[in-house]
Formats: sequence, C-alpha cells, structure tokens
Amino acid sequence: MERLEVKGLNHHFGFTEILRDINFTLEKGQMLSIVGPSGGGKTTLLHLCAGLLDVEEGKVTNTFASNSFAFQEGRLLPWKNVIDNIALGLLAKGEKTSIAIEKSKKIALRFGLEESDFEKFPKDLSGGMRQRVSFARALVVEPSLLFLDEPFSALDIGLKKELQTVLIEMIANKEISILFITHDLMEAIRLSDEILLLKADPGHIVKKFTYSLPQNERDDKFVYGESAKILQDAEIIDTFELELK
Amino acid sequence: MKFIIKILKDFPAYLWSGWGAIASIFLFIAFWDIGNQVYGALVLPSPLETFKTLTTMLQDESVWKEINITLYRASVGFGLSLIFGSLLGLLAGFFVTASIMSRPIVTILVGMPPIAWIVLAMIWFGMGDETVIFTVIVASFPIIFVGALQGTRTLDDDLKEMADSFKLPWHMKFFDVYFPHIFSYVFPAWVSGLGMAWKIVIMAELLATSDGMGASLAVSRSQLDTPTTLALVVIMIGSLMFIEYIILEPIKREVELWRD
Amino acid sequence: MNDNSREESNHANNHYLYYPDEKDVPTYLAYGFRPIFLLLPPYIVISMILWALVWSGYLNIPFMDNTLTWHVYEMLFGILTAGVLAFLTTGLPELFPGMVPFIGKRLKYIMILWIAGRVSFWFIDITGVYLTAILNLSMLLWLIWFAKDVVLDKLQRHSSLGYILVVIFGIETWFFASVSGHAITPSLDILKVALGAIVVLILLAMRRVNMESVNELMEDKDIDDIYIARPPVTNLAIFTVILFTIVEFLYPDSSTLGWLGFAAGAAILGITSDYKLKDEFILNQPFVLYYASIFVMLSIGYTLMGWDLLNEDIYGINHFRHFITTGGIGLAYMMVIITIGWIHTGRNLTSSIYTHLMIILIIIAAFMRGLIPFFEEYSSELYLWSAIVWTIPFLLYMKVFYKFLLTPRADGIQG
Repeated sequence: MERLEVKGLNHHFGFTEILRDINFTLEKGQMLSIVGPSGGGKTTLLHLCAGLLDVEEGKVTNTFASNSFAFQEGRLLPWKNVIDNIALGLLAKGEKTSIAIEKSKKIALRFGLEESDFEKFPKDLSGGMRQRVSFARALVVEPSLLFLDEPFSALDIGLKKELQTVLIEMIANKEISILFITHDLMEAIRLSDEILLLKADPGHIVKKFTYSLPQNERDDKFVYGESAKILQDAEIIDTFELELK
Repeated sequence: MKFIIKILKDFPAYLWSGWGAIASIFLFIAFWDIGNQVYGALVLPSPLETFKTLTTMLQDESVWKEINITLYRASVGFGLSLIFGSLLGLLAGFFVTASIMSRPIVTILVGMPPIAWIVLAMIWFGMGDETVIFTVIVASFPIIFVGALQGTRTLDDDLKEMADSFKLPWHMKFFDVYFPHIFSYVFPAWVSGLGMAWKIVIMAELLATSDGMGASLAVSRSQLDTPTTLALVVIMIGSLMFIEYIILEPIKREVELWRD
Repeated sequence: MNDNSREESNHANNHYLYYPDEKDVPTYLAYGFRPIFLLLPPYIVISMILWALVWSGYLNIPFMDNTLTWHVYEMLFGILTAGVLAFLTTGLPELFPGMVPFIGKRLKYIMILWIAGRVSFWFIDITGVYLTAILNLSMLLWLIWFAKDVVLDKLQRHSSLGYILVVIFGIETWFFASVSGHAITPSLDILKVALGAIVVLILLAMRRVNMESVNELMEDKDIDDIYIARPPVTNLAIFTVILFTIVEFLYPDSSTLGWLGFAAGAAILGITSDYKLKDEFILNQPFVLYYASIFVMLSIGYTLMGWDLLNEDIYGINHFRHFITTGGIGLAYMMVIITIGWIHTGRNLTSSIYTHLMIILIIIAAFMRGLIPFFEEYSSELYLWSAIVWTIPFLLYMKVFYKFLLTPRADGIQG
C-alpha cells in the first residue's frame, strides 16, 4: 500500500527551531491539508516531505510510486515556451520527446490553455495562465502523490475554482493523493479529507479535523457552514490570532 | 540547428528594421559634411572624399595585409579572453569564496588604464605581436570574467529547487536550467569585450608596432594625411558595426527572446 | 483603438456618434468624401489633358508667362485642398467621436468654393492673380478653421495635422505674394518648400489612415494581431524631410543636402518596418503593399535626389523629385480615395485587378517620369506617356467607385 508517513520530525535552520515533533500519515487517494499562519513552517514541512530538504531528525517514509510538486509562484523556466515547460517533467523521466510534446499539448488544452499560447514564453502569460502551466507540468507526469504549496493564493476566484474542480475530480476517481498546504481555511475545507492545524514558533501540530463527505458532494453551504464552525474553535482562534486585542 | 534557421528566418526583418539607424548615420555624415565646409578639407575632409579614399584603399593589397594583421591580433587576444574569461568566471561563480576573492582583483584589472598596460607590455615583450595581444587580453578578459561570474552568481534558487522536485538528470539541469541563464549574462559580456578588444588593438598597434592598422594610422597622422586617417577610422568603425549589428545582435535577440 | 466587441457589420459605429438631421440630403452630399471623390478624379483627368495640350503647344494659356510654376502650383495645392477636405471631413469625426459630420448644404457650398478656385486658376490670365489667391487661400483657411478642434484638443493627439496645415497656408500665402510681386523669393523655391510641407502632412495623415485600415483589414480577415505604426519612426522621417527642405531652400547645391537626402530616404523607408508584426505575416495582403509603396516611392525620390547632389555626372534632381510627387503623393491620394471609397460606403477593403492596376500604373508612371535623366533621347515620349499612364488609374477609379459614391452605404447606415 502506498503511503507517506512522517514520524517524530524535527527541523532546525541554524539555531532556530522550525518544526517540532510532527507526526501524520497520508494514505493513498487521500487529500491531506496542513493549514496554519504564514511563516509557520508549512513550506519547510512540505519540502521535507518532498525530499527537497534533508531530514535531520525523525523519519519521512514515502512509498508512493511517483510524486510531483506545484509551487506557489509557478516557477516556470523563463526561456522555455509553454509546451516545453510542461514537458520538462516527462523528459526528466526519460520520455521520448515527441510523446512528451504530444502529452503536454493534450494536458495544456485540458487546463484551458489555447493552441496560440503554446509557443509563448512565460513573460507573455498572465499570472493565472502561468499557474495553469505549472499545474499542467505537475500533473502531466501522472504522479501518485502531488505536493501543493499554496498554488491558488495568487489566482482570481474563477480560475481558483476551475483548478480545484480538476483536483476534486481526480480525488473522486482515486487517481491521486495530495499533500496540500494553505493558509486559507475555506479552501482546505472544500478539498481535504483531513486538516492538520500547524501552530507556529516552532511549528507543531495542535489539532486534526476530519471530513468524510466526498469532495464532489461538498457545496458552498457545506463549506461556509463548516468554516463558520471551525472558526469558533479555540485552537484555530489561538493559532491564527483571531481574537481582537 | 533549429536555432540557426530561426535566426536566418528573422534576419531580413531584422535588417529591414535598421533603416532608422541608417537614417541617423546619414544625419551624422551630414553634420560631418558641415564640419568640412566650416573648417576646410585639411582639418576635416568631406565624407565624400573620405569614402573615395576608402574605396581606393580597399583595392590596395597592402592595406588588406595590414587589416589582416590587426584582425589576427584582435582575434587571438579576444579568443583567449573569451575562453579563459568565461571558464574562470563560471568557476569563480560556483564558489562563494572564489568570487569574493576575485572581485577586488577584477576591479584592479578594470581600473588600470589600458595605456599603462601597453607601456608595461612594451617593457616585458618588446615591440611586436605579444605586446598587442597581451594588452587586448588584459583589457577584455575582466569584462568577460565579470559577465560569467554574475551569470553563475545570480542563478535562481527557486528554479534549482523546481529542477530537483522533478528530479532532472544532470545534463538537463545544466542545459535547460543553468545554461540559458548564464549565457544571457555571458553573451552580452562577449559583445562588449569584443568592442573593447577592437579599440585596444588599434591603440596598442599605434604605440607598439610597425605594422597593422594602428601603425598605418600613425603613419598617416605623421604625414598629415587626413583623408587616409579618416578612411582608416571608417574601416575600424565599419567593421565593428558589421560584427556587432549584422552578426552578433541577431543572435542576441534570438537568445534573449524570452526576456522582458 | 479597435473595440473588439463591436459588431462585424457595424464598422460605422466608429465613424461618428451623431449624424445631423438635415432633410433631403442627396446621396452625393451625404458625407464629406462623396462630392470630392466624384469631382477630383475627373478634374485630374481633364487637367492632365489640358496640361498635355498646353505643353505641346496646342492650347495657349500664357499663365502670367510662367507655365511651369503654375503647373507645379496647381498639382500641389489644387489637388491638396481636395484631398485634405476629404481626409478631414471623413477622418475627424472618427478621430474625435462626438464631432458632427459635415454634410449637405454646407458641404455643397465648400465644394463650390473649391470648384471656383479651380476655374479661377485656369482663367488666371483673365480674372487675375488676386481672385485666384483669395479663392484658394480662403479654401485652405476654411479647412484650418474646420480642423480647429484638432489644434485645440487638450490632449493634442492629432494637433500636428492642424499645425502643418497652418504652415502650408503660410507657404501658399508666401507663394501668392511672390507671384504678385510682393515678395522677392523665387516662386519655384517656395513651391519646393511647399512640397516638403506636403510630404510632412502626408506622412502624418498616412500614419493614421494606414493604421486604421490595416487593422480593419486584419479584423475582416481574422488575422489576430495588431499593427502599430510607431510615432517615433514617423517623426524621424518627418524630421529628416523638414531638414532636407530647409537646407534645400537655403543651400540648394550643398553636398550636405545630398547626405540629408539619403537620411530622409532611409528614414521614410523605415516606416515600412512596422509592417513586420509580432506573430502574423501581413506583407502578402495587397493593401499593405499598396500603403508600403507610398513610402517606397517617397524614399526613392529623396535617395535619388541625394545621390544626384553628391554625384557630379548627373543633373536630374527635379526629375527625381517626381518620385515624390508623381509617385509618393500620387499614391497617397489614390490610397486615400480607395480606402475611404470602400470603408465609408459601408464595404470591406477589397483588392481586385482594378486596385492593383491603379497602384501599379502610378508606380510605372513615376518611374517613367523620374528616370528621364537616364533616357534623355526618349524624354519627350516619356513626358507624354508618363502623364497618360498616371491618368488611367483615376479613370479606373471612376469606373469602380462611382456607383458606390452615388448610392447609399451598403450597410444601410447614414452617411
């Protein structure tokens, strides 16, 4: 069984303690969100899980067959056009160029890019388009585990919903497992099976929320209702410093 | 290959976009002509006379011999600077210690006036090829070195991380992530290094050799032959403009298409 | 500039916001360009015939004993006022939405003024130079008054058009002062200055016509790109032309002028480099080539004049000048009347064998006229045939466009 298991994870940058005793497990087909305020060590945690940082203390066991990463700011290669950017992951896996290009074109169309955009460089794309390309690049390799680092934070409502719908569909089909970090509670409620609340200084998990209703059945009423409920939670108020001082 | 075809395909349009530049060159020549009418042909020969001298000169084989000598010195000097400047710059860029250490040295190299180098080189190497080539190297090496250093120093960590997340193999990392960025710094440095080399080679020849275009310039000066002097200047500027605007600029445009 | 949301069939939405509610306006007075385009081509044809008769000696009109001067005058100013009238009455409501189009009775009176100017010109030896001066100057003055909004516009977007018209008015006044003995400058020198000013006017006006119609053409043909004629490129061309004109007036034989001729030639040719668009290729569109040919001809003219001045073996500067007049300016007028003839009668810009011929024949005529210095032995044939070849396009224009000019707009909109 594929899974991502984090056990007793601690992390320091120099003398600053970033993460303390993190434990959780992400099962196959699940979407796990880690929410918390900005600067709370969320990104560090994600990078440790994805192997972009070396684990110093504790254990991260990743048995997923493949994984990929979608970044907050897109991180496209500015000197490559849309299609070549999307194809990057495929080529790294050793896919034949012609097939990689073919697949990239297909997924680009699925993510609402147009054929006339294929040859464009990132500088000629809007922020939303760049994020679509970044998503396409992460998903074209058909990863069994996807790391998402606040990929929706810079998008307008329409585009946000569009990309989320794609993810919800994939989760419903059990195609993918997702580790998602965000500071947006509503976003987390709409998408996640499980939410971990990460409190800052140093980052540690203080609470866990579980939602069993399938994502594709969650409507706005559900999301608003749950959000209202969760905002009453004492730990949430404390973590996000919501009380008026 | 695809890249070269693309450059050639865009070349006519690029050339055609140069009419404005040609117009301003002609305006400049018109001002030159006014200067001739005001100060007389001895001080400033007319453009027409200069161009006529130039055509006769270009039919003379001995002039071509001088041009070839200068070309040889400039290209050896510039070629060595290009190879060593780029390589050492890259290397220094990859190590923080090396780049901290090389900064002040480069400042010394850049800050030293070329004329001082020529004098030193004349003492060290005597009057000949070595002096000229050496001066060209010391003048253009630091420019290229700094370009390569900057290119490596400014590599984007976010993109490196992205490359790691997709587990790019080393050759893809180099060619797709590092190289385009570094090249966009090194190439302009090559262009300005070349300009520097071409100017310095003339100066060094004028002072330190008895052949080459610089020496011809010295001769025409001593004979007060202003048309020949100006014709030589036109050759120097013309050849530099040709290399820069006809050969290098189209490549640069294609290379930097992705830039804002 | 182009509002994408506008309806395909509703190009006219851009033309004006209000249409005056004058009653019983005949079709030929329904918009500024109509009467002019009905009269200008036949006038050009008739006057070319008259000139041919005058030059060959069959017709004796003494023209105050200076036929050449007056020939140049009429070809420059007589046609200019008609072209400017069409350009302003049609173009201004478009450049300044909210301006009410100039039509009907008032248009008729202005046309009568123009006709009176032409008649007084041909009968100048009977009616006298002062009547000609008053009629023609008041025509130009009215045009400037009509364009006053352009100059007074707070943003000064198109004010250069107004200023150059004022300059041209000043030059025409100067000319009349010279021919009536009130100024000592030789009248032909003044006409050369006038030519420079008219080239400037054409560069300014064609930048706008060019941009509007090329973009409209691309929209019609679903070419997804935008053509921008960059102002600095045109401004450089204008600067070099002004410099050339001033230096020619002061030092007509200087070698500096030769280099300035090259500069003007290159700068004008530079205007065509904007036709290279970012994504699409449009140089296969006939209309783009038509517009480009204007700049090519002007450029050839200035380059050859410059070459003439620097080359001691050739004396043909006034022949080469015909690449500018017969060629560039002729093509500019032709393109204005063709473009407006299509678009403002509610049609798409359409090229056909007729429009090809109109442009090509003018180009051929310009080469025949301009290259006379190289074929001196055939000069009399070339004088005659270039005039004939140059006239044919205007006959063709009458054949193709008269029916459009005499019937309401094809899309049913007023105007």
